[in-house]
Amino acid sequence: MVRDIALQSGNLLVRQIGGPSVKPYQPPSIWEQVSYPTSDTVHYAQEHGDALHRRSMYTYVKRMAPLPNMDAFDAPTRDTVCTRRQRTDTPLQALITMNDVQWVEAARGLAERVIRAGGSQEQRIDRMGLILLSRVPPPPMAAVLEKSLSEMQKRYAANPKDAHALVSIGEKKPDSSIPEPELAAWAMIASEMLNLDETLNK
Amino acid sequence: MKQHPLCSDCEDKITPMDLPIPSGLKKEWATCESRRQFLGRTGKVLGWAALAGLFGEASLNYRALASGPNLQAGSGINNLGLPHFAPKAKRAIYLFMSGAPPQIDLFDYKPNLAAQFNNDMPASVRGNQQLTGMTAGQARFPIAPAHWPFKQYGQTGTWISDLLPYTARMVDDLTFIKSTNTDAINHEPAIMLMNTGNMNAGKPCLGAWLAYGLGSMNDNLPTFVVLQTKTNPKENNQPVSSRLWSSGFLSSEFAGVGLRSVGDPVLYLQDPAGVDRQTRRKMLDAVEEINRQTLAEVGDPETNSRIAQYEMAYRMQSSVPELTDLSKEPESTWDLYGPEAKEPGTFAYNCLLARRMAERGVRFTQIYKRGWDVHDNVVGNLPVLCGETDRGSYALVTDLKRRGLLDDTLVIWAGEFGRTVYSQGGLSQENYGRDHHPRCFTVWMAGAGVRPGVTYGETDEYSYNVVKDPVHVRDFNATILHCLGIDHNKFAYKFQGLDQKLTSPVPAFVVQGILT
Amino acid sequence: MSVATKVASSAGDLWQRARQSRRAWLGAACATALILLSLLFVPLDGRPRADWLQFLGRFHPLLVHLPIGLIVLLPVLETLGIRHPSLREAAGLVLKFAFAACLVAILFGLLLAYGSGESGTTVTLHLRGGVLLAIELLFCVAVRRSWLQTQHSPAYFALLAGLLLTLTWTAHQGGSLTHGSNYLTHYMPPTLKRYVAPSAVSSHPSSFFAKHIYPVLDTKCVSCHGTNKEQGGLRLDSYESLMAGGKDGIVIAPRNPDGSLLLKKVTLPPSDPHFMPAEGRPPLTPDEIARIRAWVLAGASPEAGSVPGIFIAGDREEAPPPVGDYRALMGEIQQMQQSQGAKLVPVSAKPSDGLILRTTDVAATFDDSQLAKFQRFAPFIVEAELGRTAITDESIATLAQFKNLRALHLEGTLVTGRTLGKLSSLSQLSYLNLSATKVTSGEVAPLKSMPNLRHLYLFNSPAEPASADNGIRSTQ
Repeated sequence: MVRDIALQSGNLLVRQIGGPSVKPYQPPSIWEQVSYPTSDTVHYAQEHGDALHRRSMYTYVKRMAPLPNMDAFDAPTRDTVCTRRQRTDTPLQALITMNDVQWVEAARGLAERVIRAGGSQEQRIDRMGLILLSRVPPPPMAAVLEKSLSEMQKRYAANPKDAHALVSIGEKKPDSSIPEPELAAWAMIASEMLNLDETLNK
Repeated sequence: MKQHPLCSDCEDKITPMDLPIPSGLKKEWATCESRRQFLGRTGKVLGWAALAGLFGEASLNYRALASGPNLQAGSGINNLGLPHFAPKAKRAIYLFMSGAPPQIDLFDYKPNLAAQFNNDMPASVRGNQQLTGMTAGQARFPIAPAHWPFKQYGQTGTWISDLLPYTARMVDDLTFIKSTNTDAINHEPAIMLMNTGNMNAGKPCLGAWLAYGLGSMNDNLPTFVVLQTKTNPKENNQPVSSRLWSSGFLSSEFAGVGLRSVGDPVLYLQDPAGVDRQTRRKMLDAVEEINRQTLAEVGDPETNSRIAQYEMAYRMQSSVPELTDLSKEPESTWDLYGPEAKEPGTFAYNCLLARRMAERGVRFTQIYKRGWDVHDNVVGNLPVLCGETDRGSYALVTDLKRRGLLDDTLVIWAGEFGRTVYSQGGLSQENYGRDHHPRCFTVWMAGAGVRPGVTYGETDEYSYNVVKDPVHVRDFNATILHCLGIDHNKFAYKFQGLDQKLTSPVPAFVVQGILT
Repeated sequence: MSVATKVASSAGDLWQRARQSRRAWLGAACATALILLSLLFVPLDGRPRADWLQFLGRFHPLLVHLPIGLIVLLPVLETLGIRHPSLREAAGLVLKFAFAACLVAILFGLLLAYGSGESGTTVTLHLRGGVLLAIELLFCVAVRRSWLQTQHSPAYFALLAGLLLTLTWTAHQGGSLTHGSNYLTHYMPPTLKRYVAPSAVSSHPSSFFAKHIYPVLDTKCVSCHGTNKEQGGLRLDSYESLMAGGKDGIVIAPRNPDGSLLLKKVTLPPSDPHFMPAEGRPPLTPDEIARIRAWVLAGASPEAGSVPGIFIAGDREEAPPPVGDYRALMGEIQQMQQSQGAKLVPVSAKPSDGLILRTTDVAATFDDSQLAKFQRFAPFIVEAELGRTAITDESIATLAQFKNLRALHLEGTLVTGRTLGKLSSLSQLSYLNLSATKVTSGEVAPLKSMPNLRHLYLFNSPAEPASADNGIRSTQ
């Protein structure tokens, strides 16, 4: 669900229904570590294109090695009945929402979305709030975000190489009409908003 | 809403805190109350009373655990009342030999077997044991003595195979249990039994229990770390699964965190390209400030927890690379562990990391080494396996000892079961195979809580049955818990109507004979 | 007429005359005493003699109980006899009977000693004691007559007291001969033992040898291989003589239990003529043999405190003393933790087990001033984890105030060892880790006298010993 929210907000979610399971991003060498050597699921062959952005319920599940970024969010292991999902807070979840390719890509997608929709900075922030939180960010929140935005803009303007690296993450190509430093800065703001407690919880 | 006939007060004045409902339910209500406020609804108080009969208390404990001992540990008070008594060991390192090492070839010295080469093992020894499908159909069960000689070492005069020259050097520090036995004859159930106390999936493993019960000693590193050794494709690598370090029904924050040798040491540790530490810090500062605003507005304690976890994630981003940075290790380390230890993913490297983690207060480290499943070609495979693990094990114990860490660390070396005295497949002077054997196997421990230089338990002349002081896997786990100050009978968690314990409902006993 | 007959007849004459005159009677008594004294010169040269001598001699331990009982009864009767004259008369009979029984016991004792070739101090002492006892009894007989007449004779009661003392002493010697000199003290509670029976092995009284090997030898071997007797020229009553061996060579070969004659002999089949202990004495139990075996395998050291693989229940470390209850201070402790970052972690759910000062999370910034703030919790702190902190020598003085400290981690700190001596006042300290510090052996030396400090770690420091020890030094 959480991943889906990120994808959807980043305009990446593919709404195709049904079909075989897909294999989205996964760090290397997860399946090899646990598998029987002659198994047909020893090597994880990541797919490309739309397959990366399907709804999470279509993700291929290997019970011995569930997808880490779903496992960290207490996805049930399918060995036992689950009547109620656990709800936990772990640093691994934080690491995923900050650093996972999926999330960085989604943040960038969200940044593109609000930039393309146009408007001033405040309007863009408001739009992000509406997308993620179903409300316009209240003034204190908006103030923090704007301050952060200006810091990020300064930083990426001074480091175009970093901006390029950041926006290139993920297989979906960035929108070339948006200058990279701008996109990178907004991607960071989007990432911040995606990492908010309010986004992830409420 | 119409007033309940039994209530004389207006509904708004009653809170579930006043009702005779389980305390877990009350806690649940309290934490959801904030969500109610956010959504702008008033609570239907009496609805909770009605639901009291439907909810089990256990499922509501998750909420109580959400802040868990990890955060509580900061206050130094463990709300579970653990350890029950003063522990000898504060931390444990578990060297798990997945696949089952053959005890006859390594530790369980049976010189009488040499004369019995190729004799049939008497059927009386086996009794009515059900063998695996791999050997049940064999026409004969010829005895295969150990191919390698044994010698005595140390002041205790312990017999060790020539295959383990390094382990031989430290026999005076080790406690051997030769009478360990298990119920399962195949890998998956046996390995689950060793790790989680139950052959069925879904139970927390030893590390998760310890993380839950004792909490963390270091707020910057995970409490329970799992290290996988790179597999050698020539070996028979039985699978392991993330179930073995899972937290089962306990909160997932107690699951083992894999420390990997490929890519990020902890998954997703590295900031993405284009984001440096300063940027990450600024981003986090912004997120946390907004979260604090949320906390002030909504009052959900979970928010607090989330702030803390983000901070810990940030700290881990520097503490974990520091942990895996071996550049400052003195030359004496490489002299001890060998040059292999410089290569990430090897067993020696993992042992070195385990020592570093012990220094930094990681509560429980588990290293998996796969490939011990020598159904055939014991003569070819076993020396390789020993070569991969012997020096590392010795180096770990020695390193801990000389640094003063062995006084409060417990080191464990174990597989999931033993191997048969009879040969699986053909038997020749040059080679043989061994099948699974649950009735007896050898494990060793070293360090705090166990007496060095002791061998506990005996097997019969065929190393087939235990004849003295049997130690079931349950008892073994109970003993480990005991060394860490936990009474395995009292350490339980109510789930699905049962007081779940690591040692399962079947009675288990601490092995007093090896304790200090 | 043979000499014997002449002696007998003259004795009989003497007896007749003694009955008639007091003087003659005294004369007879002295003569008997002289004969008894002459027995002291019977040669006890340690050479066994005829079997019939030994056969008869072995009744001595049986017969000796009779005079013992009678001599003990005598003062009782005499005392009670002051009020009850009938008892006094009985006392007279008992006295004479005791004297006779004593003579018989001495006779058989001589047969035993002479016949079996016992020799040595204890035997001589026991013999002398027995003879003295007989002489005293004789004097009792003499004095009693006058006592009877005068009703009061302090001399008589003094003699009786002396009699009892001699009896006790002689009997003890006799018991030591049979059961070993530590028979009464072997199972004595340790508190008493310290005063009554200081360890026979005075050089290393807490060593494994002194506690677990020597008592076995003393009980089961020293009666024939000790100061009393030296069978086969072998004495087993001290470490030196044990290792020196006897006529057949050394009996203990360090690290070679199978080549040790002592072990070979005690593990022979009991019916074997060379089985030890000989002469039907109780054999060594399998436990005792295992202990000796393990001790020999480990090098047969006279000072090692323990032997790998052997665990004696009584050796289990005593539980450390409980510390006070810190629960009242919980609020303050939590505040400290929040402000300082370092934690005070309970050792266990029992408050009396104390607290651990854990600085892992703030190690880099934890310095002397912060440690000083924890001083108010000092009585409860049993372990201080200060590894890799910013602690310096200044804190040693602070730490010396932590009276209940059992374990101190100073690895990787800037401690130079200059002030380490202050830690000697910590009587409970059993673990000190100075790995990866700059301490030198000179500075560490004063710590070695601390009785409880069993675990001192100096890895990667200038003080690290060069041996294969790798920095671990144990006082055991």
